[in-house]
Amino acid sequence: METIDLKVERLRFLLYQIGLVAVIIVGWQGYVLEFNVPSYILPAPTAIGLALWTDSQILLANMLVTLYEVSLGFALGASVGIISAMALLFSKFLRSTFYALTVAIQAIPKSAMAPTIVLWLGIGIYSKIGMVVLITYFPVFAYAIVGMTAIDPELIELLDSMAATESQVFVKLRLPHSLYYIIQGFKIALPYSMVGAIVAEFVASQAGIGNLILIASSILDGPRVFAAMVLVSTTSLILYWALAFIEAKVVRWAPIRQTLLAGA
Amino acid sequence: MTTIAVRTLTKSYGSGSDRLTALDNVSFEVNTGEFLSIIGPSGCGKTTLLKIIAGLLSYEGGEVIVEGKVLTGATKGMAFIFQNPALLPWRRVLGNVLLSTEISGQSHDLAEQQAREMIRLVGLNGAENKFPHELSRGMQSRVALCRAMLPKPRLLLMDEPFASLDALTRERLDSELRKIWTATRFTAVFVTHNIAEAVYLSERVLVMTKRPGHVRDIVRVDLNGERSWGQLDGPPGASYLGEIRSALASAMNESPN
Repeated sequence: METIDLKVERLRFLLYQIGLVAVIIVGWQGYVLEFNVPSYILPAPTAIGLALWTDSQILLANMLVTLYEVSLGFALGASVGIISAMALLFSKFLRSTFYALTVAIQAIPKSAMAPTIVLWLGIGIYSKIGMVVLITYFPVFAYAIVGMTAIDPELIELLDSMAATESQVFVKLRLPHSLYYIIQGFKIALPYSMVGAIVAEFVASQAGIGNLILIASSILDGPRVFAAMVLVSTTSLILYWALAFIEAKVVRWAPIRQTLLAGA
Repeated sequence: MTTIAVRTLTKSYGSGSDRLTALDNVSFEVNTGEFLSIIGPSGCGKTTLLKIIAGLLSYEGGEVIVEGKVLTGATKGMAFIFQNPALLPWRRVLGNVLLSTEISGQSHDLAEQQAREMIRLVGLNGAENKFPHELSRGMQSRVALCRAMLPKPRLLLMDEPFASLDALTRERLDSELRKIWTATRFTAVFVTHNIAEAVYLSERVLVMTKRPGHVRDIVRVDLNGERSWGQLDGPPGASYLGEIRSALASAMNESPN
């Protein structure tokens, strides 16, 4: 239970943050007006706000397209990541060959791969989904492996003492333990997925928020470009919060707490 | 009838100049339904011995026969209680207790009923839905006890299960353990540092030497009937304490062979 003092403290910090943002916006507005900055270089906050209002439909429609690409790609990339982690767990052969190869491919910056992916999968939605799959795969795969193997040896010994089979150890110990780590993998993959989808849209696309930014920027519609950036940022934040919320509900037993307790 | 037969058991770790002999020529037997405690100086190999009996560790010399078989791994019907309660952090108390019967494949509904009864018996009524991190160490140890007992094991191996608890909680849990043992008469091997606990719980106490460990003494505790902690304050309880204490003191002072 928070005391009143803590609540007042939190409120105070919130006001500081709002105040800081307000100061930045006012300062920005003043600067643009004072120095007559062209709107395609740096639009005024008021212009951005107006664009958000008037262009709301087109902004949201395109944002939804990108969101769709990210969701599908993320679901696919994460699934393949988790399944390959399981495969590596059970096959020594795969472990010795596959892992090093995956790390090597991962070293290639995805942005550099974007034009190639568009060439392979077309200018439609599949290339964007493909990008997101490539981006999401490795973090989820790597964290899943850690989560399935880096388990307190005493827990494994416990199940051994109960004469548990390998598959019982996997289902009752490795899989639930890995959930926390997999979610950390998600938290890392998510913002990059958004970036990846947008970068692919920059290369070539017919729709999506990246596509909108590209077109608006080419006709020097500064307010619309910035409005789109505000929308992307807000959407990313909401997704991240949603993930954090799921994490709090699903993994209340976070390993850091466990380590502290083991030392008690 | 003999449940456990340990014959000239030898166990070493490492090789060459780093070779560490943990157990040297250990021999003893445990009868069915008997409660045997093992006590000895730190590092004498008590935990190693227990894990070898459980089939969790290999050994180089001698043989260990449990229920007529040489073990290659843990068997059903046997339960091991570790020093650390080792509860699964993502499961609540009830889920943790049920882990043992899930693995041994017993019927869920019946097991759940019995689990709730057991949780009530150890005084954790109302805590069934708590997570391990919400429990004190003593409560976690009790959950581990329930988990071990639920599949009704014939053989219970315990490695200082109550070592990190305060004296009162420890006495209480020892009493509960004694109660359950008296009612079900499983075979028990109990490793401890605590002399009073060993005398309170056991029919025989095995005293080990310093590393490399082997059997120094086996003290019979003839305190029949229901036991109480008060019994250890005067004869004959106190004489057993004294006997074991001096055996242990000699064991600690003796130079290794």
